[in-house]
Amino acid sequence: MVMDREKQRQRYIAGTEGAPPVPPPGGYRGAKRQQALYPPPVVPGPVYSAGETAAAAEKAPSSVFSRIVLVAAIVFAAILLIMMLAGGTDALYGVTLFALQLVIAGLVVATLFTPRGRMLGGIALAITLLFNVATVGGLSALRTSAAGTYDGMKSDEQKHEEAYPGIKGTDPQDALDQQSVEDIRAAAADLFADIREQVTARFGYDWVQVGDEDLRPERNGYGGESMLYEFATEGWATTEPIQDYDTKVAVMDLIDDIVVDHGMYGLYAFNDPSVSGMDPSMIAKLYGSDDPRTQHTWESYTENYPEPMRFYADIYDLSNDADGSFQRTREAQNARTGEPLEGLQIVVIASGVLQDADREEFQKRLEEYPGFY
Amino acid sequence: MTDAQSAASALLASNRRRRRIRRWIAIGTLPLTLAALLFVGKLLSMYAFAHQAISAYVVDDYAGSEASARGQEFLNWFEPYKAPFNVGTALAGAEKLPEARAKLEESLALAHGLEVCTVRINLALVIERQGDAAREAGDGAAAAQFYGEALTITAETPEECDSDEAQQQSSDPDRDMQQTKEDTEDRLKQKQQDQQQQQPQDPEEKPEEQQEPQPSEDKLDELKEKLEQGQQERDQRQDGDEPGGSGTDKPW
Repeated sequence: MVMDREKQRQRYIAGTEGAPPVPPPGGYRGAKRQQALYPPPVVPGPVYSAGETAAAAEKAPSSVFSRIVLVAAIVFAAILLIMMLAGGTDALYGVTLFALQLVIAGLVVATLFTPRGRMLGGIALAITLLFNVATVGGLSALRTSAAGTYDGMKSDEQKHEEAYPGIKGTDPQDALDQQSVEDIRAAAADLFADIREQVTARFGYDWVQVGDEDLRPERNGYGGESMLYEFATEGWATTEPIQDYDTKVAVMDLIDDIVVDHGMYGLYAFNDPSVSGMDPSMIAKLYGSDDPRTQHTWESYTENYPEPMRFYADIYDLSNDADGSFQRTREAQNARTGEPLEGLQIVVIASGVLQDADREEFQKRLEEYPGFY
Repeated sequence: MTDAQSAASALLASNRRRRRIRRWIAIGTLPLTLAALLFVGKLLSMYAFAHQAISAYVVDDYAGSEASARGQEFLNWFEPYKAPFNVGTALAGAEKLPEARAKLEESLALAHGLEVCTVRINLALVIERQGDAAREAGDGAAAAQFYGEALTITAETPEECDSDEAQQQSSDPDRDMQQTKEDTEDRLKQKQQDQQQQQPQDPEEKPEEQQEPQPSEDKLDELKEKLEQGQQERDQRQDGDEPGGSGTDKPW
């Protein structure tokens, strides 16, 4: 019996050099039952939730494609921001960048559906949603709007036109032939001096200067500024109210004589419905009434055409302000310029005039625009 | 069924339930998502269209400016006056004055508060140019009517438009809005006067209180001569021989 056991043992270990015997085909008999009956002991260790298991799975390296797309999205966003800072709003809204944006967006969306690309694709998507041609373009448009720098994409010809020193539709020779700013300043000073002297001599009014002269460049009609100016002299105003109708008529008559003496046409009363080209309802709207006797403003005008001087004489009369609205207007004006609330005011304005100092440069620049206006 | 199978089955059921909930959340919030996308798209497109409209106008591409401005009209919920304002301004640049006027009037009806200031200025300029066109066509009566209408638009500009706040909202920050309004008003008065002077007047119809000067006889002759000369020159100017220096500004 002992010999039989020894033979069996030797049969199992023969030629195996000490390795355990392989299990018989189909496994040991009753092995499954034993496993079911005696489950293996549980080794204490970390317990993973479902989310942590998923996170552990995401720790696998991202795909090369997703990395490339993320870098592309970041670079594109950086380019957009740089262009915005450089003031390139037009380029941001251009076709090229729009096409590139579509390509980036397509790649980002594609990345979301590739293996191991979801996380970086999501980051790229967030970057693309925040910084794209629409959002950065909108910011850039706001910057342009605030700065008012709408240069657009002007052609060389348009840029040349933009620098035209004259005014579109006006013969530049007119500016050279007619009174200059200095001529007008001198002529207006003479005219004002005569008016002040004669009005004071006859009516006893005192005068104060209203504001300073104003020289505003005029646009050339081609998107740029011309070398010509809208020139408004300083104004002069009486310090006493003029509320009597006959006195108003007499004052305007006297001024009319003076302006004619100074080579201008006779005064024309905008506020007088019998001579004004304006509709009576408009006269009432502008001057408080269509009856000169009850108007809060008398406004007379003349010019020295073909020279550019335009002369205005206004009489403000708060005693004819029925609802107080005109007084509020005058008070606001008084707050701005310090001028008297009522009384007579005179001023000269001229459009499209040249300064003597600019005359030579004006002519020189006009040589670049032969027959141009 | 074993415990493992039960656990797997429970997990599958949980996943299915979670997917179903996600799907219904997606379906349920789809209108909100679409509305949000539309809202963001509309906001961002406003800046794009407005910028392109202005940029195109600057380079005299009025058709392009109009096309971009019309893009603003879609779902025109925010600052609704701007879309017709930009369309009208582009049309004015292209000298389509009646259409421009209609659009600017539409804009004026949609504008509130200080928004009306800039609309009124451009509307008055467009109507003034309609008057210029009528005058060049020899229709003095129509010209005078247009000038009167433009003057009404200008005269009805609210006083608030003279404020600094209004100036900050101006579409032309390089120019003083109040000064532009006053210049336009002065110019329109003169143009109306020119039209009036072209029509013959009966001196006997003048009322007693008229403010006409009463100069001496020799001065009267001189004045008469100058007035006649001036009238002839004005007539020439209005016939287009001499455009004159008080042309209408372009809207911006």
